[in-house]
Amino acid sequence: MIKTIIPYGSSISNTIKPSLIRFTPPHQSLSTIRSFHQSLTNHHGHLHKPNPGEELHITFITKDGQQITYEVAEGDNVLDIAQAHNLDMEGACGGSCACSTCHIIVDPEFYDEIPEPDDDENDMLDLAFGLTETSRLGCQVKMRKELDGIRVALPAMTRNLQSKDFNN
Amino acid sequence: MAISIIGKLNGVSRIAVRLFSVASSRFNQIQTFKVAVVGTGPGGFYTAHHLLNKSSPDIRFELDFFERLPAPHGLSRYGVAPDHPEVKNCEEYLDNIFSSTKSNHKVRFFGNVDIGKDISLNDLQSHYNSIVLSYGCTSSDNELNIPGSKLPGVLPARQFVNWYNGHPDYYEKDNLFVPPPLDKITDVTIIGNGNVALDVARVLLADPEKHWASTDISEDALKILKTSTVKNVNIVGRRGLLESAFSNKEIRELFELSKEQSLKFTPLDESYFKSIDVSKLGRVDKRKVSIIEKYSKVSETASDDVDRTWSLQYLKSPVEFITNPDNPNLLSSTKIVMNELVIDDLTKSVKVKPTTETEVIKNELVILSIGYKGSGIQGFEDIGILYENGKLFNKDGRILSSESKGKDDHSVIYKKGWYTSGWIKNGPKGVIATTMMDSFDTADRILTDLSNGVYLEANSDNDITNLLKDKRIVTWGDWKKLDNYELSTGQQMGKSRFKLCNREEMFEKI
Repeated sequence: MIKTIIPYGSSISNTIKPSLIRFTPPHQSLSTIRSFHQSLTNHHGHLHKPNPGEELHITFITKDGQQITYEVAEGDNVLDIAQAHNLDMEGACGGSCACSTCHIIVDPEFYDEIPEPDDDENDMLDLAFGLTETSRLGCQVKMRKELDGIRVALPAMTRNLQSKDFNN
Repeated sequence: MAISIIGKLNGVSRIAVRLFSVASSRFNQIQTFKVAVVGTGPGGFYTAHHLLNKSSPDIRFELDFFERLPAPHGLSRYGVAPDHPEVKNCEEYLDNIFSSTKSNHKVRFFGNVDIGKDISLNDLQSHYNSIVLSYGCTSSDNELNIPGSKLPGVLPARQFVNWYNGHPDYYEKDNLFVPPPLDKITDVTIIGNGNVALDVARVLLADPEKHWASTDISEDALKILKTSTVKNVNIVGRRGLLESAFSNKEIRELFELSKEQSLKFTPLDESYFKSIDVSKLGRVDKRKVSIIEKYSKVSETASDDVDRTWSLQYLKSPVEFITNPDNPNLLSSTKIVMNELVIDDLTKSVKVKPTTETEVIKNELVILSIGYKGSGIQGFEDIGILYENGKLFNKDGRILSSESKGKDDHSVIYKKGWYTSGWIKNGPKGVIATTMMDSFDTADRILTDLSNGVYLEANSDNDITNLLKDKRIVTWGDWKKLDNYELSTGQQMGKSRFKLCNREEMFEKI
């Protein structure tokens, strides 16, 4: 069911970072045009252009199960990558590790390749929805050679929160 | 793909080239919706932010914020602890709404306007297409119905918090809040162990000069904290360590503070940790146990020569507060009953059962941190909106008509055009990130409804300002003046902000 389409972004506007490979189910193509509108005012993030031959790959699994792969440069963090590509990741604190809105779930195969979370990150992760054993904050995960091919999932938001989520 | 040319946008003649798909190639006309947001705390501004930023380009909003107080930001300004400035960064979302020059939307701020009193709900309904109630859920306190709970030595945490955060309701010249006489108190018991309880504990424990003076804490409160003779703070929970309501971030912060300052945590008995099977716990609880165990061990060997001590006490419920024979404004002690846990293995719910064992804790002051309550707005009954069970009667942010009460999920009737977000939507609990996600949710519902023609018929000729002619309104420009005054005065004083607490004084600076 997955099909490659030509990245629309580079042909319409160079404000969209070129996404070299983009997988999307065919029926999504109309709605992506809509999200293109939004990205003009919303997208932020400061990505580096990978040197030829040194591209690293990261695949995002969105809330609705879509898998999207990007070629990125070493050193970029997952929050910036997501925001630059207008994926639904808030990063409300601006990447300062003061909130849990860039929560990602990391493929267990790659989890141990990422340096362990420090106390500040754990403090925030403990407040995240749907925390798993391989949860991290996107703003704290930097792309490195060891992470080439990593897959990360954006947690589907749980609306029916448990009482435990409500620390007052 | 097709290209349309649209002129006369927002009164300015311009040409917008828009790309839209063939599938939706109906004639695109900009449609304007009037939205009222009642309350300018995180619930209000996150909802507005999402509406303005996620709406399709052919929707233009005229959005009005209403705020009861002269200053915006709700609980971020008056609830969040002064030493958590990073949490207050969320306020930028409201600033961004007003400073965004690119947007075609029109946004106004009406501070010092009390919905229900200055503007009736009926008037609101006739002026706006959609109305968001996000006025918070902290107008009163949960109560403890035990002997002595009405004594002056028993203070709800909400009042203490509003006082140290400079809430105008507590700084009215003819109705000034009387803070507890901290210069006559050595022992304080905090009932409840959520994050508010830990905020209160930090205020009482941390060095006012070193820790608080540079924050935006109320100057009046700071003066009184400097005279404080408090030596010991007990944080008492009715259930066990695992059921502690604080987040790991907040408890770790208090432990770290104890390391930096002359504070000592009274170590928990090792049996607490032995009784917990860590292997069965989830990630958050596992970390909670390991943090407390680690710091508890550290403090076992720490010096007793400290300024102040504090403790976490579990499985204890107060049964009576005893007044102080020497000073009726204070207590002498709290009578406690020891509890045992009753765990339902199927639902995993944890309740407590009192035992026959009792204990007396010496304390001159008790602070009750057992949760907040909200209230309805004058006129709810007439238009059919219900406040009950600590929140507005709603489904996923859409307010339900009071006629729907008792009906099953499929037969409920929505109150067209009325929405809710923030604590008044779900009850007074959850951190700001929770409120953010949840407010985005409400905003999504509003956008869906607008696209489907579900909104109130607003009388577009009548502007709400016609109803506010006799009212001292605080505009966004006024607030920015006040904000700049607070920030620049604060800077001169070496504080992050010098908060004006009294309404009249706030007006004088505008």
